[in-house]
Amino acid sequence: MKKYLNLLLVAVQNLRRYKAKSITITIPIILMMAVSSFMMFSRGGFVKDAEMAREFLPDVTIQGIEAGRVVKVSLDIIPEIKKIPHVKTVAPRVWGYIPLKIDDLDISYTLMGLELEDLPDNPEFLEVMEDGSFLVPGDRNKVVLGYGVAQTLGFRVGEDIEQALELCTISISDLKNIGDEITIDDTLGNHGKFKVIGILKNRVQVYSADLMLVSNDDARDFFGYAENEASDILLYLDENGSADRAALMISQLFKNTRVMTAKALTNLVKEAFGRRSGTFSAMWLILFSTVLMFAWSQTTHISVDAGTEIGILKSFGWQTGDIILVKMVESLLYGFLGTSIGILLGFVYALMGTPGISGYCIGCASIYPKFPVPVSCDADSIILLFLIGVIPVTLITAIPAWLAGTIDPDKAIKS
Amino acid sequence: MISIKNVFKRYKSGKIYVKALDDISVNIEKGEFVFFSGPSGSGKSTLLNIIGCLTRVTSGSYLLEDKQVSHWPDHFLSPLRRERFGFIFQQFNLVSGYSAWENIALPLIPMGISQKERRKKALLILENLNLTTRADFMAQELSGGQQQLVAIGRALVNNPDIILADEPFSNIDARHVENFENILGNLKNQGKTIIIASHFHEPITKLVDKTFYFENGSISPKQ
Ligand SMILES: Nc1ncnc2c1ncn2[C@@H]1O[C@H](COP(=O)(O)OP(=O)(O)OP(=O)(O)O)[C@@H](O)[C@H]1O
Ligand SMILES: [Mg+2]
Repeated sequence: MKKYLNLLLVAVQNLRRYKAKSITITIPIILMMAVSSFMMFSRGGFVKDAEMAREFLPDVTIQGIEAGRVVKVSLDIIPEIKKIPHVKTVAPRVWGYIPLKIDDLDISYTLMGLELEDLPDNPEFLEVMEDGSFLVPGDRNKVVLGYGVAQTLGFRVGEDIEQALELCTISISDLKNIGDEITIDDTLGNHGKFKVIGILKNRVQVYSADLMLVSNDDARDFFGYAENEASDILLYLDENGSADRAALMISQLFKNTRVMTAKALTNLVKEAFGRRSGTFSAMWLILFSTVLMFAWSQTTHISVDAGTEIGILKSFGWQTGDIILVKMVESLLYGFLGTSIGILLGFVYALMGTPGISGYCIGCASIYPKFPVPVSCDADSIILLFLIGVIPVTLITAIPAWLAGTIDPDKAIKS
Repeated sequence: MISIKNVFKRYKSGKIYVKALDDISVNIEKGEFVFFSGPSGSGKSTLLNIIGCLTRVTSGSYLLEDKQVSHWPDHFLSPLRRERFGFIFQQFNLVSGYSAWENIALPLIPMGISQKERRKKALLILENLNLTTRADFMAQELSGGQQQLVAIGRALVNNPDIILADEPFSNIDARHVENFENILGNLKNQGKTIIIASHFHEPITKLVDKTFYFENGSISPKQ
């Protein structure tokens, strides 16, 4: 037992003794783990987001189409749609992007009108509120903000006020509260004034972070829609309804519509991310193999020195097993150190909003610029990352140690 | 105690085989001071390495106290190297990055001896070698003579009964030769078996009990 403690201490000491080698081995591990942990955290976030948001998506969404372009949809088709079997609720929705300039930054939010009278009477709805309350029938000039919007506009959100302050460059006395009014003048000339009554949770991030929810009437006023016009129509079905069948019927009934099911929508997001993550996977693989090759060349390269050392130790009674153990613990420490720092960097990078690649990552300018990539970090992925980072490097560095440890000491010394 | 019989040793160097030892037989008794002399390349180091279990015979037998160690597996040889032999290399072979005392204590690490205990033992040895002031110097910061003293200390730290020294006089000056001679004299008085390989003969003539003269991998009858 004492022997193993001694050997462990030797391994730790060796990290210091071979400082240059330690650094040259650890840095690529750090890089590799930073990239892969970043990928993992953000990928996990996207998939989780897409799945969570699906609970709140309508079963079917209908848009108007004219000459291949999305246009306003006429509400005249609603009576026909209501006749389709299993349709529980039909809710016209008025929404659009509102491009803003805040502190010289181009930010685009989504203003979304809801048919408040027809909202599904779903208690889960309350769970999406971070603070305040949701809109109720009859509300006018009131708005519920997405988490990201609230943060950027300087609202007191969540527990992390410090963080909000840092992001908004305003002082604590300037923080806005639920009940305050905001004025919106977008760069297209639309104008509106709303009282903030609630803030959505951070949870359904990709969809809701840049959302501002108002009543349909307010949204019509804001975007200048006529009484019988909407951006799209949402369909909620009862338990026995099939979204696919309803979608098919509608697209056959009305020529100038595009019909999307919730599944299709979430798949769209997942797919968009998945394709890009393929690029990352490739990058990651390249990096990974580079690290392995590098670790290999490092350990074999230094074996001119290390081989002599191993020979000397063996000639004074060290067992081959002792030497391999020390080398493996060394590698384990490199792997552990590199992985820990790498994961930390990857996590921080993801949190910082992935400067440099966020646009590419989502490919969608409408996502507001702060916290653009949802970050999900759970014990499983961290354990997996450690396995990836530690085991191969440990095993691969054990091979040269084993090779050097099994030859005759006199040869090892002369090597 | 040491019985070498009809030993051959071949090294493979690329595609060619080099005959380093050619039918060598040697007997060494406990407490003897033995000298291997002969020109460069004659096989002195090779036999020393075989005796110290640092390499194996190609054929022939090596008995250490009636035990046929020539074909033991490596993990049986480790305790033997640790407990029976103290090896002083020609190039001293100190491990860089370790201090003088740490080098001396290296053989004690896999024995599970704590760092505190190791340092104590090493300092005691350094004191006997008059090198206490250099205990914490790094190996590469020592002079050649000091390095040899540390190498001697490392060979003695486990209190082995067989001391093997390869060319101990070639890298040090006359003053250190004399010092080393004294140390060897003491070890001989303690009853240790000592085997030295060198082409310098003179300094230790009065200590030597037996000389083997090597030539082309064989032992020549001429003394
Ligand atoms: N590891 C090795 N690989 C190949 N050949 C070797 C090896 N070690 C020794 N030899 C060869 O074996 C022969 C004997 O070498 P050895 O080192 O035993 O001689 P030596 O008598 O100690 O010489 P020196 O006085 O120069 O130290 C030499 O010809 C040498 O080239
Ligand atoms: Mg030699």
